[in-house]
Amino acid sequence: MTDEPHAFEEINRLNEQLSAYIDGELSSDEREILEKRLDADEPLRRHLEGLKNNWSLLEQLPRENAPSRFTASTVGMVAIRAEAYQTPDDHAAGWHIRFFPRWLLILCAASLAGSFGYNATKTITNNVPVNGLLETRNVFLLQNLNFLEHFPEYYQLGENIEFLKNIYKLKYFSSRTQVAADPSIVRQAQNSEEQARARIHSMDSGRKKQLLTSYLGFLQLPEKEQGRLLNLHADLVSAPNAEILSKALITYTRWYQQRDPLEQVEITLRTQSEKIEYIQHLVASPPVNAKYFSGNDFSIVTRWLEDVAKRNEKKLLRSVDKNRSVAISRLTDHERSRQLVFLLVKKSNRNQIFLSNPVERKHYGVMKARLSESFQKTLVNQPSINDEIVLLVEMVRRDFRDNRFRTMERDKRQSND
Amino acid sequence: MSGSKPSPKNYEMEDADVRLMLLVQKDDANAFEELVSRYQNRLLGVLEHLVGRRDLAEDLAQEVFLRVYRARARYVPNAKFSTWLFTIANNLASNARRSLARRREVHVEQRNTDGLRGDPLAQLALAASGQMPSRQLDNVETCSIVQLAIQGLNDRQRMAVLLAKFEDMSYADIAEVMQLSPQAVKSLLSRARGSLRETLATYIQTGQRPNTNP
Repeated sequence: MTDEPHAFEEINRLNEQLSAYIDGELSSDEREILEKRLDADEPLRRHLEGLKNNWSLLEQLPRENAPSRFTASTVGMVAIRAEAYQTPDDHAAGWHIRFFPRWLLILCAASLAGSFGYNATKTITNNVPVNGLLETRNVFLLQNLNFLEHFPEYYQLGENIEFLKNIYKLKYFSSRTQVAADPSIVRQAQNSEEQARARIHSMDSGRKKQLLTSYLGFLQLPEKEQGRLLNLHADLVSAPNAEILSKALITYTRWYQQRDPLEQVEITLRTQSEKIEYIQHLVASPPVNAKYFSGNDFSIVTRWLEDVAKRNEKKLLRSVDKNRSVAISRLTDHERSRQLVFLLVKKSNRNQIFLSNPVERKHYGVMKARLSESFQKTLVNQPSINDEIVLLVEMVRRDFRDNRFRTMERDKRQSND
Repeated sequence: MSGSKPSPKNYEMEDADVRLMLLVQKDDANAFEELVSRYQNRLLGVLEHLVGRRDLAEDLAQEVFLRVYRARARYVPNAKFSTWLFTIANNLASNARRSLARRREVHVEQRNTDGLRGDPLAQLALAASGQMPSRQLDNVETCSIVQLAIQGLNDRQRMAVLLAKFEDMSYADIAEVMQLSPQAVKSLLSRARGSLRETLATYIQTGQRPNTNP
C-alpha cells in the first residue's frame, strides 16, 4: 500500500533539492547525489529543464530604471523630512545628531535647489562634504541662480522673446513696465559666482525656500524643456533691450497670474499672434465676473470624457505602442479609465478625431446642457463647437498637467459610485 | 548553505557599500548620495513587483532611503549592505501592501464585477482556453504572462523569487532579509518554482512540456 503523505513529502523534498541545485545552494555531497539521480532519470532531467526554463523567463519581467530626477529628489526628500521630523532615537543619540541632518539638508539644497554654496556648506556643517557632484551642482546653481530665481515666470510665459516684444508694444503693459517691474533679471545675470554665492547667503528663509521650490520644479521638467527655458533666459539677457524685456516678462506674468483659470486657458490655447490679440481684448475690456471652472462643471466634463474614452477604448489603445496598450488593458477599471482619459485628452488637444463623429457630438450636447449657466455662456462665446471642445479638452489637459482637482474628484466619484 | 558569517570587520572589508554606509555614519553627504544612486534601480525593480505600482514603489524606495538615513547612527555592519537595505524594504513593502489592501476594497469590488480582468490567474485561464488567438506568444505577451505569474505568487514567495533572481542573493541572505530560516527559504523558493511552473509551463510553448510530477 502506498504511503501517500510519505510520497508527497518525498516529492517536496526532491523539488526543494532541484530548486536549491539551480540556485547553487546544495552542498557538494548533496549535489553529487542529485546529479547521479539525474543521470539515471530522464523525466527528472526534463522536469529540471522545465524549472530552469521558467526561471529564465523571469528575465522578461520589465525593470525600468529610476527617473533621472530620482536621486536628487530622494536626497532632497530625505533631507527635508529628516530635518522636519527627528525620531526620539535621533534626539537621544547625542549632540552630533542634532546637527547631523543639516549636512543632508545642505545636500538637499545642492541636489534640489542648491540654496547654499560650497563654502556655506562647509561653514554650516563644520564638515567638509568632499563631493564632486555637489560642487558640480553648486556650479550650476551659482551660474544659473538668476534664471532659477525667475524660473516660475519663464515657465509661465511658455513663449519666446518675440512674444515679450509684442507684449511690450501693448500700451497696457508698456505703461506698467516703466514703473512696476524690477530689472533684476538683467542686473543679476551679470553676477559672478562669488556674487551669486553672497546673494544666496543674504536671502531670507522664505526666498531660499522659493528658490528651492523653483529648482525642484526645474529639475522635474524634461531636458528639452529645461534647455528651452535656459535659452529663453539667455536670449533675454543678451538682447539689446534686455531690461525692457525683463520688465515685460515680470509684468505680463503677474498680470497672467491674476486672470481667472478659464481666461488663462483661453490665452494658452491661442497661437502667438492670436494670443496677443486676445490679451489686448482682455486688457481693453472692463473686468467681468470670474469664470471659474466649478467643481461640478469639472466633474461633468471629466465624466463625459471618461465615457468618450470608454466608447473609443479600442481606437485609443491602437494609438499607443503595444507594450503600453497591454499595460493599460491590464489595469483595474478605475485606473484604466484614468489612463484612457489621459490618452484621449492628449490625443484630442489639437486633433479631435475621437470627438468628431455624430454620436459623440450628440453626447457632447447632452453633457453641455448639464453644465452651469455661466459656463455654458463661456462655451457659447467660442466661434464653433470645435473650439468649445478644444477649450474643454485644454482645460482638462491643464488639469492633468497641474495635477489639480484630480484626486479630489476621483475620490468624490468613487464615494458616489 | 552558507557557513558561518564573516565578522563585522570582514563585511567592512568585503563590501564597498558597507564602507559607504560607514561614511554616511560619519556625515559624508556624498556617500549617501552614492548609495542612493547605486541602489535606486535595484530597489525600484524589486519594490515595483512587490507592490504592483510604479508610483507607490518610488515612494517606498524613498522611504527606504529615509529609514537608512535615520538608522545611520545605530548602523552596525553585521551583514552585507544590500541585505540590510532589502530587509528594510521588505518590512516597508509588507506594511504598504497591508494598508493598500485596506484602502483598495473599492477596487477589489470593481475587479470582481469585471469578471476576469485584474485577476492574473483568471487571465491565464482565459489564455489557456484557446480564446486567445495564438499560443505562440511574442515577447510582449510573454512579458505580461510572466508578470501575471509573478503576481500570482504569494507575497513571501514573490519576495524570495525577486531577491534570488535579480539580487543573486544566497538563501542565507534572503533568510536574513525575510527573517526566516535558510531552510524555510529553500522551501519557499521550491514552492514558488512549482507555482511558476504550473502557471507558465502550460502557456509558453517550449517544445518540451515538463511532467506534472518529478
